[in-house]
Amino acid sequence: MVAVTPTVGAKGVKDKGSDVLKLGKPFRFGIIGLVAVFFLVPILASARYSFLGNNNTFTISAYTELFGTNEFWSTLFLSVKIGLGTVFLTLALLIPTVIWVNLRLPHLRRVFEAISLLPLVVPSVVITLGVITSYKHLPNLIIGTPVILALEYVVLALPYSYRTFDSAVQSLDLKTLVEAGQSLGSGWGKLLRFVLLPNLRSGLFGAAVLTFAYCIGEFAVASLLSFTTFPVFLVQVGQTAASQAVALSLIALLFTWIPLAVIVIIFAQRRNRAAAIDAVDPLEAGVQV
Amino acid sequence: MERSGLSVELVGLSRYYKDVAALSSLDLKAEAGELVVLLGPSGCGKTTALRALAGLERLDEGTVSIGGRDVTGLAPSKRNIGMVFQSYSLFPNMTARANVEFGLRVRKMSSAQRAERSSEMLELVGLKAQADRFPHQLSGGQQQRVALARALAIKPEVLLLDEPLSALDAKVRSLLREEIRRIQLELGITTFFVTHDQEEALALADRIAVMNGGRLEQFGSPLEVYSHPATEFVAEFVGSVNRVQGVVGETGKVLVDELGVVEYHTAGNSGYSRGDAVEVLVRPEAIGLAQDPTGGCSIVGQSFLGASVKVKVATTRGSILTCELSPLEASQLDFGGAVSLYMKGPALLLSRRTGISSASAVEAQSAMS
Amino acid sequence: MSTVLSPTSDQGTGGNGVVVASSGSSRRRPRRGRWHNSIGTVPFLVYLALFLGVPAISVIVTAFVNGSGHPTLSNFNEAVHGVYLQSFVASLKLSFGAAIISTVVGLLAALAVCSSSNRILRAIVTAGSGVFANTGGVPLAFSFVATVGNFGLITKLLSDAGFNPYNHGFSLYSVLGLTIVYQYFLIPLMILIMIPPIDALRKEWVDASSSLGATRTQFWRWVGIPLLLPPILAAFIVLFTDSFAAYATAEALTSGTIPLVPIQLGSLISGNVLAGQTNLGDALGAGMIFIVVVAGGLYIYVQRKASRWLR
Repeated sequence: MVAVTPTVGAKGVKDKGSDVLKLGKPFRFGIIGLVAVFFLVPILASARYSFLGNNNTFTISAYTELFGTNEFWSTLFLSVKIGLGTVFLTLALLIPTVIWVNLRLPHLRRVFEAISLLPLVVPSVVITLGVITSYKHLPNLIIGTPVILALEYVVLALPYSYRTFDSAVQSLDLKTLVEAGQSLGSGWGKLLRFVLLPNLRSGLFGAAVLTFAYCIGEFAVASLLSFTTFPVFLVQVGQTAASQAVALSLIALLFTWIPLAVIVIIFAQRRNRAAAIDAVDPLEAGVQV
Repeated sequence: MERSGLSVELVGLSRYYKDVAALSSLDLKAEAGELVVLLGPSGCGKTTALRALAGLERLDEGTVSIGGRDVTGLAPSKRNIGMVFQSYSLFPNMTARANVEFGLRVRKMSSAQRAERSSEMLELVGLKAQADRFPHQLSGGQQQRVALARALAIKPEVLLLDEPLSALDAKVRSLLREEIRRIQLELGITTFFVTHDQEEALALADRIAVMNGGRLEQFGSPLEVYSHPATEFVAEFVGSVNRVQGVVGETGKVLVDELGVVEYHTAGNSGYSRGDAVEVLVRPEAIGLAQDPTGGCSIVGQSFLGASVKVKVATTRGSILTCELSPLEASQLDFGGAVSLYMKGPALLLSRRTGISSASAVEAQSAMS
Repeated sequence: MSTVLSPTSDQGTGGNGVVVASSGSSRRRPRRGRWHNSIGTVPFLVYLALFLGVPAISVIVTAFVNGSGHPTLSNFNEAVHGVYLQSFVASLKLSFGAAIISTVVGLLAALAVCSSSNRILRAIVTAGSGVFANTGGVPLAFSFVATVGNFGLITKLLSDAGFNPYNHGFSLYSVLGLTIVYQYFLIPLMILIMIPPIDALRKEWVDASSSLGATRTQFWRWVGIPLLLPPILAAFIVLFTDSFAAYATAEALTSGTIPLVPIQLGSLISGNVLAGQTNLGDALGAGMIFIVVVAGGLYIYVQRKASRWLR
């Protein structure tokens, strides 16, 4: 039998914040309550609006009509296709680059991170204009098809995907892993497949989800280049049938929130585990499209 | 250069978190200019006591007085106490000098006076050249020196140090420890120093207050605490002990199977009578080893610690005892041969045999710290 | 479009650590020529040059030439007059207003969350902010149509109470309306950015300052606010650029009728080009890049200042 004395003297993180800030309860609950209302009301209002029929009746016609249209499915399918293509391209570009930088050019890690943020300097409307003026002579196969969207989305989503994957790579002791693998005689292919990628799963997943979410929601480039992706279709619907557009928006919001919530939680856990590492929450970024 | 310190008296300090007592009626009096170390495992209440003294912790019962003045209800900012924390307590947006001047700025001292005082303080801690560095440009040891200078700059009546060395590495720790002591003696300031490191406590203190479970176990000079521990907890927390089974014999003697007749101090161990079954606590350095082909004991392990050698001996009873020898003694032993044990000094403490080993309790506590 | 530039990363210890590590490794590995070491990054850099560099530079270059390819400043002259000047003014107004409101509200919310000892509340707010900060674009616009649009829930409730906001000058389809809608992603972004620096305020600093005789006000004046000000300013810049570059929400809500720079540029791209305005769009685009670059420069400056005392 062991007598265990409780650690009373050591007060946990629990009171830490309140000791520094000393904000009154009414203030805390007031502000958080107001903010919560601001964020919940539009969701409730959307739900109400989408179920509202003539003369305040309840109807699900907005939903049934939507699902019945061909365009709903074709634009959704197009957006998903573009999203998957972008994710594939992004990973193909990121995996070798980030691993290379962390392994061979660690002193340039910050520089590459800064480079990955460059797309933020050029608003997507401006990029679209640039694409039109500079690439109008490219073969129609690229410029005239949604391929150009995927190619540009890789760039536009880079600020989110790069950091996410980079922080995952950083949290590994890459050098040791690679040296250990090579000392056991495995080549680069095996090393990537059996050692690095399995360890980088959450980083890859995070980068993929953020990129995909970006593509699914992107409106500016797609509409200005005249491709009817899902968000463009949504705006078209909005011009004729508001309640259908609201219903569609609600669905779109919920479907982007769920995967985002999953990665927010995954990354929160990882950050707790490796608090010392400079693991930046990728979602300190807002993906506005 | 400074005024001499003031005495500090804590009477009946109690503090409860929910229904657990972090401090229960602690009485402690530090004489003027004394350095008192509060020693104990984590959660023993030593930091709570220190923070209560600083006014940073609310008390449920008890009074704190400094130089005879009751300061119990006083805000920390009104107590004129200098405090050094475990780490990271320097304001990161200020240079070393600005940190030292903080308390003076609060006191609306003129900038010329502040500059003079901060130079003086930084010189005292040997960091004059680093005055314009920001905390993150200083090493951990240097940061703690600045923190000390900052605490002393306001000419506090009492200095409180809350595990100031625990975040530093061993070399810096012992260096800074000596320096703290030098400065404390130079200024003659009454000082409380909290630590869980017994070596630090023994090296620094005028007197050590050993605490456990919110209570004071013993308050005495380092020598008293080490050689005449008042309780088993103190014996085991300060230094290490062997526990052997014994039976009390005539006054001042106890019969131990492995060690024969062992003397003990009756003063600290009253209430035992002949025939009582007891556990005997013996320091490793009180046990001697002799080469003895008929001794029946064998050496099963040794570790060289520099100034001494720790030797583990398997006894005829099957128990394993730890002895501490000088390197000279150790060099004369044949580690492969049989040995016998003898006592070089008296036993530390007796305790009635019970089912529960308090050694495991200490282990449990130190594991938590 | 949006802006990330997470301030916390620049305060992390990573930077120093990397520098130390690299100096060590470069000593161990003799220089075998830069080429060899950086060849693995070439595809990435070429890709960025092609799909970011070329379009961006072509916009800037085209902004300085006329329809027949001769250098001119007339595009800019056009861009800072009439409706285009108005659109810059409106865009700046919108971005400033939206950024100020979200800075204040987000800061208060972050303070409230950080001062609470309730871990569940904290987890919910952090996760929720992570999700909402990434909400934007078209769906957001329509959910606000359902809320404060002509037939929205709040509009209806207020009208029932005898106060129809649309009779008192309010419109969702205006700069004011957009300012409100943008809060939906700006406030969570602010909360996310501010929680780490607020958490980094250590209890030891409060204790130390009060043991040195300082009041709470003095602590905030000399320690708390100086430490929080750089991240607040940096966050403000992030929020500003985020709303300045946003296109989708505004376009979906107003169908291009509101004079904002991205909207004007969008309608020029869509072919609403008048004679003699061939390269006007490029001038507007160059102007947008210029404003974002200035904001980015300010951001870096603020971060530098803060990193003087942060690890």
